[in-house]
Amino acid sequence: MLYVVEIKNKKGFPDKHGEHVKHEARELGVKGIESVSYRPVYSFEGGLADTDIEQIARKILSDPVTEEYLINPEKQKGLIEIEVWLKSGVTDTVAASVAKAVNDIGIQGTPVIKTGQKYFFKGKINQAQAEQIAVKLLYNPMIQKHGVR
Amino acid sequence: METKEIRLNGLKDDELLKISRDNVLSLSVVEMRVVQKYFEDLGRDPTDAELETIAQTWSEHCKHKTLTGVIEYTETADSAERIADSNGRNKDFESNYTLNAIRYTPNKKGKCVKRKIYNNLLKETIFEATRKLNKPWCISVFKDNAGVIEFDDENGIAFKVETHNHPSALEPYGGAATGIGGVIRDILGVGLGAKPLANTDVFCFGDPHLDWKKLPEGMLHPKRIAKGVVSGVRDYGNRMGIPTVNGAVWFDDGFVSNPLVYCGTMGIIPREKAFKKVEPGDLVLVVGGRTGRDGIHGATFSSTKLDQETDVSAVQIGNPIVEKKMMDTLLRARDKGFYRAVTDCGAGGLSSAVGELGEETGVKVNLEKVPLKYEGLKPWEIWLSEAQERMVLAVPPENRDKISKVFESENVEATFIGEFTDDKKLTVMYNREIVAELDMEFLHGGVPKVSNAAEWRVTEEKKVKVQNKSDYTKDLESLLGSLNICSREWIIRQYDHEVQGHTVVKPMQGPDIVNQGPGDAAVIWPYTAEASGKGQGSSNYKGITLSCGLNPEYGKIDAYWMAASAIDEAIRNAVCVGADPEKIALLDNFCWGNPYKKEILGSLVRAAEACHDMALKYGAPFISGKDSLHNEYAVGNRHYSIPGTLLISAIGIVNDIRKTVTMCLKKPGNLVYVIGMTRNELGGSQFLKLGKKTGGVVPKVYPETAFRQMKALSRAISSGLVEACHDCSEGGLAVALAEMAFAGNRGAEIDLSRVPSQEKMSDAEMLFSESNSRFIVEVSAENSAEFEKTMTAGADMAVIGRVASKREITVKGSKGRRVIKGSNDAFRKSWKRTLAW
Repeated sequence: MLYVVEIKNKKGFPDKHGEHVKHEARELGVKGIESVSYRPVYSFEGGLADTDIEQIARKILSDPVTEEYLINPEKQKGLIEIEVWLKSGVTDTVAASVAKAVNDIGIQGTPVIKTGQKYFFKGKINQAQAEQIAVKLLYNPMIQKHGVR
Repeated sequence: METKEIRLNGLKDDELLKISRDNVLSLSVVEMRVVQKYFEDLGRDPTDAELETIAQTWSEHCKHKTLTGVIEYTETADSAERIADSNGRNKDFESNYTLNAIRYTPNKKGKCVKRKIYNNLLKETIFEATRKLNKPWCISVFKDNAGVIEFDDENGIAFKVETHNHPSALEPYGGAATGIGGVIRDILGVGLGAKPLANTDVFCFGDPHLDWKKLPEGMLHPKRIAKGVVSGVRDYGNRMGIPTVNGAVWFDDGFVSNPLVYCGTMGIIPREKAFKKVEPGDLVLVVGGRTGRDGIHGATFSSTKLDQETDVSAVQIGNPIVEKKMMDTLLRARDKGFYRAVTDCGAGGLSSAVGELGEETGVKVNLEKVPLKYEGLKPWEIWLSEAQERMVLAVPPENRDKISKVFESENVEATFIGEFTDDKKLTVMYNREIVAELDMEFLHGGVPKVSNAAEWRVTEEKKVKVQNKSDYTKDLESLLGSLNICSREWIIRQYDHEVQGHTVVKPMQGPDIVNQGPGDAAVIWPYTAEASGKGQGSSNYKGITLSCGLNPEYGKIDAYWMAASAIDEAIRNAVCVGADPEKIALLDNFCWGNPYKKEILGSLVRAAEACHDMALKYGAPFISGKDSLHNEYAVGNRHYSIPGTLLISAIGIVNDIRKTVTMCLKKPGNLVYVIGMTRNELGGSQFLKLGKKTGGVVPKVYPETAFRQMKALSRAISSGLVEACHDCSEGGLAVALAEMAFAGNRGAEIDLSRVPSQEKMSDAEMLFSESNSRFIVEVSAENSAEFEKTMTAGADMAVIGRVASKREITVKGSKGRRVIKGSNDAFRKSWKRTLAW
């Protein structure tokens, strides 16, 4: 079973990183964006149950005061989404820390963990512009792969 | 067979070169022939691991081939002659001291004014100055991972600055993070290990506002590089619990494709732990991170030749948590005396770390024992991998179990992989198969000397005319907002500069969070914890200063004066906070372009000569350094080299941290002094750059006067006579005054006609000339007589105004008319806005 966990800021907590991306996209010449929201993403493959992933998302991945978590969320309609993941073979130190924390809270499984980022764009932006933003601002082909949808 | 032989026997030059190229060895034909001959004499061919080991050990990075090779240097001029006195007026230069100053005389066309063969440039300039100075307080210079000087009777202090340029261009975050991670390990690997107390960071980037259309294909935008680099240093330094306290940032279009990332670490080490000695029979212990394909071939790799999977290997990824645990346990093992030597795995990984430790004895290792991140590595890959967070120790066999327990206690992996021998050979095994067997003497001493030509063309420095204006308020405002002067707060505040609780003088200075200005140097008091433990405060109030100097703009005119200025700047920054100028040690970091171009190497030679001359004049020995050459990129057939850039970092001592001063103005009514002569030296200045003008007369250094005044000023500061002190650097007098005023939330009333100057100068020249060795000092009226007495007769100094209560800066020009009037708020806003990302 593959679980994808997204972490988003609760309402009322500003999304600074998203604002930066919006600002930089404008500098790049993509001016019609209304807002960008940013979410760190984690994927877990194998060895976990639904109750495990719930615990991991709540206890390890999110800050209960400022953030909420979404498990295997649907694609959001009307938004363009860019995701960035580390290439396999690239040392993922955050994933290693999560793996350790998973065992520390008493979960036995040893899932394959990966970390990434997602950016959701609202407003006037097309696929080609999103691709340009991804390449120029958000991912580095040396160590990362990306997707736009 | 995991290891393959590579046939060299009987091959011709072009075939040898093909092998070097195909395997990314970066060995020249001459070097390949030497290797061929060595194995011919042995009657066999080398293995892949042997060739890789030789290539790594002989690399520019490890051996500094260009700077330690033969350089044939010439200086030519259309018409010029070398003299001991630069302008006929300056009494500083003794006749027996051939300073590289040149007087221009007509009618001697095409004259070669100097020809010199250097057999080893580093040894004959930088090391030579240290040797001549022979300071008793130098404990370990140029032979270990860092330089070490005396701090007090118990402790020494170690300082090292490294560069991580190419990795940071490819992957800014990871490149910069592993840069800081690497230099921290240099400090952990000096002697038997020093405890890191502070980090420094200096960056050179392209213009962050660069038009996207002008960005070379395949490069990351300078702003993205800058942000990534800053986050990398931030995350690694902060997570290590080491404060980042000093640095500099420089912007120039020459760095668009080759950003420079200098990372430094300073640490404290008990004096008896400052040396290492491996004994035959000691065990080889690897501690810290696991080994993967990270960074194989470091910066020399060519990604197009590598397949999808190995493509990631060129990038090193840092893991500060692993390094932090390693640091804590290593220092514990050091204090128990469990090992006899330590060094870090940097470039070349195990091959260079094990090779260096075993250089005097010989060593035999078994690579199958090395813990791996994943399966499938070939023996030579294990041997060469630049995976981070690893160190190698020499452990006496009787301490085997004891030292293992120390590392186990924090879950730090520690694995014995071999032992040191007495056969003076490097023997590398993999599952009982010999992977490499090389004589240490050949490996470390066999590299043939290279020979390069260097040339410097002397040109006359001509004054650049600047238009006279009646008001320079707007110019000052623009200057304060210009890239090389504006606030670095956005960067500084991301760094933890307080952790460990011993940062006495901090990078941002002022009475509150809004009113802040740029400090000149950081001061660390290493005994804070000890003092608070005793409750009464320690009786040892000695502190350590860290400062730097850098200005590639001057190098575009003359690299000699760029280097001299950087040395003066680093030292004067230390003096500003109260360091003793007679006990300052320097580090050199040369980042240059392609050294095979003789004019580029020529400028480097001139910079090295200035290092020699100034080190002697200031009595400031170089104790460590590093160079990074070949900072060049190609667009089509055109090659662009970076502007030659020398970073000088200074480590100094303040005898009493309670007497240190900051740069912000303190109290209305106090007198404002300028120390040092203002000259018509707008060449390379930010003022000319703002007006898009180049050329001009570059600031010179008059070391004898400067050093005398620095000593006096330091005495005045340590006697408590000085309220605030700031140096004049980029932007000259005007910028320094404005920074002091808005930092202190005080005003200043200044009269330019009182500023000591060498010749008649216009107001713009007085305000913005960047003459070296100048300080602005605030002194209370009641201390002024004593202050002037301490500065002694003959100092080029004057009272130029007063601290005012109204929060604005007013400057009266030479004709008595007001030339600047502006509010602190306006100046501060302009200064803060540019890099408020």
